[in-house]
Amino acid sequence: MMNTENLIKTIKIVLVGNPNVGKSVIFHYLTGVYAEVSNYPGTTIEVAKALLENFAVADKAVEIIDTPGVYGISSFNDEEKATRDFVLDADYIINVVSATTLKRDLFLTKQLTELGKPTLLVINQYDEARLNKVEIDLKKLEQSLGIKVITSIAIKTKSLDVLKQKILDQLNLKENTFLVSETNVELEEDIKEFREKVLSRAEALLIAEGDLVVAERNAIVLDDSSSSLREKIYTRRRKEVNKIYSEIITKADFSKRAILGRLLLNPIIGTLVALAVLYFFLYQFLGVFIAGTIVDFLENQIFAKYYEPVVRMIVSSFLTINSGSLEPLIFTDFKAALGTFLAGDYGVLTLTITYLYGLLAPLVFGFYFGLAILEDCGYLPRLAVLTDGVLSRLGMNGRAIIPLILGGGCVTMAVVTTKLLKTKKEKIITMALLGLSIPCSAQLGVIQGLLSNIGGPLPWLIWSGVLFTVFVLAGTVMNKLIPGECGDFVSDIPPMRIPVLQNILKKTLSRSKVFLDEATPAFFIAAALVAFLQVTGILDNVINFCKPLMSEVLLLPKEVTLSFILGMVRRDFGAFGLMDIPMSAGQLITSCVVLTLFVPCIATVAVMIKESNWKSALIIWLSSWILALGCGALLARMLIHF
Amino acid sequence: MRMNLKSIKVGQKIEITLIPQELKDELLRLGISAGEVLTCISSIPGGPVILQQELQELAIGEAFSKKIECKLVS
Repeated sequence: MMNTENLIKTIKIVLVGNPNVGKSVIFHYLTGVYAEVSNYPGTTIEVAKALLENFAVADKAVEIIDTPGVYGISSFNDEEKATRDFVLDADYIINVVSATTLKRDLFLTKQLTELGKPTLLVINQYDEARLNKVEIDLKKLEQSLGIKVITSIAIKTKSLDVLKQKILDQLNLKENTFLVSETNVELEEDIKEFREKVLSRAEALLIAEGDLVVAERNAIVLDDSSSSLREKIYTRRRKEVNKIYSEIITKADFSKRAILGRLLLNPIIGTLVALAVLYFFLYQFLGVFIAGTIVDFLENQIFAKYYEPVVRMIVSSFLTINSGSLEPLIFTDFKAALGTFLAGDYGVLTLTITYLYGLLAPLVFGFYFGLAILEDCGYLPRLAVLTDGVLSRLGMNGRAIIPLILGGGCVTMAVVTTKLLKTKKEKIITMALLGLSIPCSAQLGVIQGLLSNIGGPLPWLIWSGVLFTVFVLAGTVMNKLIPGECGDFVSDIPPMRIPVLQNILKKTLSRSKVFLDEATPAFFIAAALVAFLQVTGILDNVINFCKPLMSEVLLLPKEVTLSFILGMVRRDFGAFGLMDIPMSAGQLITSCVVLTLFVPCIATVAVMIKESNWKSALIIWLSSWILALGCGALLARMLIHF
Repeated sequence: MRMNLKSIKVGQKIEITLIPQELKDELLRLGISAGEVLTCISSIPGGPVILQQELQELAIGEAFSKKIECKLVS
């Protein structure tokens, strides 16, 4: 055991690199902690920190920090700001670059060496470069950069032992493996003005490059000349990097083309593949296999036959359960009230557990599993490219496809990722469309279960057609109404890779866990609330109160109200009650549409307020009422004979 | 002949001649600056143009690509 009182200092080693070069895999190797890896830019939003595994140097703890992927250190976006501060605070920097995109990556490397921090360069994905017969003169690279260079193939952990040894050598003061490179005269001249004003050399460089945040911290006001100074430094750095690059690549054969990756970028083939992916992933895999086969087995076989009867038996041995009754039991029979609260139709112990583990868990797991495959093979950036044209006409751009797809897992989590978007306008529109028209996985599952009960693809087509129309119309209208720029799209496209099953499972499990950890307490609260409303008789009153709205406007049975109320609490909770209400095909489709369009759940609204402001969140919330009821009323009349 | 990035066709090799100020820094970091030679590997109608240099592939949205000037190389 290490005595924390004796700690003199925590040594901070920061992993820095472009997106998608394998930082998180290296982080996992060094710390044993799983950080989320994704094959599209901008996914490590949260910074992961952990202690170096099984390791301590006398009286020191060593902390490894994994930062979001960036192309340079500055304040261009949220990821850069986060990365910048960890770099400024670092004792040592491990710069991870990809052997396949050295020309791009070395810009960041050069900038890091100029910051004057002890740095070690790791050229990762070395095997992929070898496939293209790229030969890199490592000695020459070390000379040019003035730091040590090692190579690795991060998915094969053996190759990372060298890295670990280099870190140990440095920390045990055996050998300086992290070097501070010599700076050049021209650069010193450019940052001279700021070096006199600022203590840290690194900060002086960033201020010279026009980093307003760092300038403000040091009470320096930058004038108009700052952007031309940045351009000067950037241009020189790029020239130097290009020169180094041309000298170190001794041999390369780029004739080998990644055929699949190319085909997916072809407008016609790409679109067909996207439709096929949508069909197989959403309909066949999630809708038919997970929501149908798996959930059906868990819910009806395991939970309904074994779990619930046992719970009911135990509860009814000392309390009474009044199934199906909406009587205000609490005033007449407390024992029955409590029993119904615990194990009745909407009981905390029965419905919540069945719903959480019989229905929600497999659906969420299935969604994140499918998404992880799409992510890890590098499909999502290609989808972003394909959809950019359409999305830019709806006031967003290709970047928005990531939150929009994540919304199919959990809308709340998706709203969080809208921070990847650059302009305010994109953010608001993406958030609004997520809240209005994207069903989350549980909702998707139940809805598809309901729709497949009617039979044939037609109900599914009507449902998705209405959602698609609302999506396009709402996007077009917001694009016209909301002032500001929707930004444009510049994206690096990572190569297609064969996903590693272990990584996919890890990612799926960690995301599902995050979701369930957050959802479980909310579900218990929601179930408790509904059970409480049931035993006090309030539920009955609300349902009767909403009856005219349901029967006159939406032409639906009054019991559907319960689903909508639940949907307000948690979006995915809503579809639950629908299963048991007898309805015509038209009514079923209508209620599925209304439920999807209906207000985002409490958690989503809370995140919306956090990511934008309460005003936008309120407008989104109110307009979803109007849209849901409006579309529902219209559809109900169109489908009256269906 | 002066042209913009959006007007090039798949398979054409171009040299970047002018990048507007607002895009310069972002593209410099990604390795793209005036004088670089790239190949167009795809162009989505009404959407981005996709360029390739060695093993790196890059998509540039429609509005931006119309502002970047280039000329054909051989």
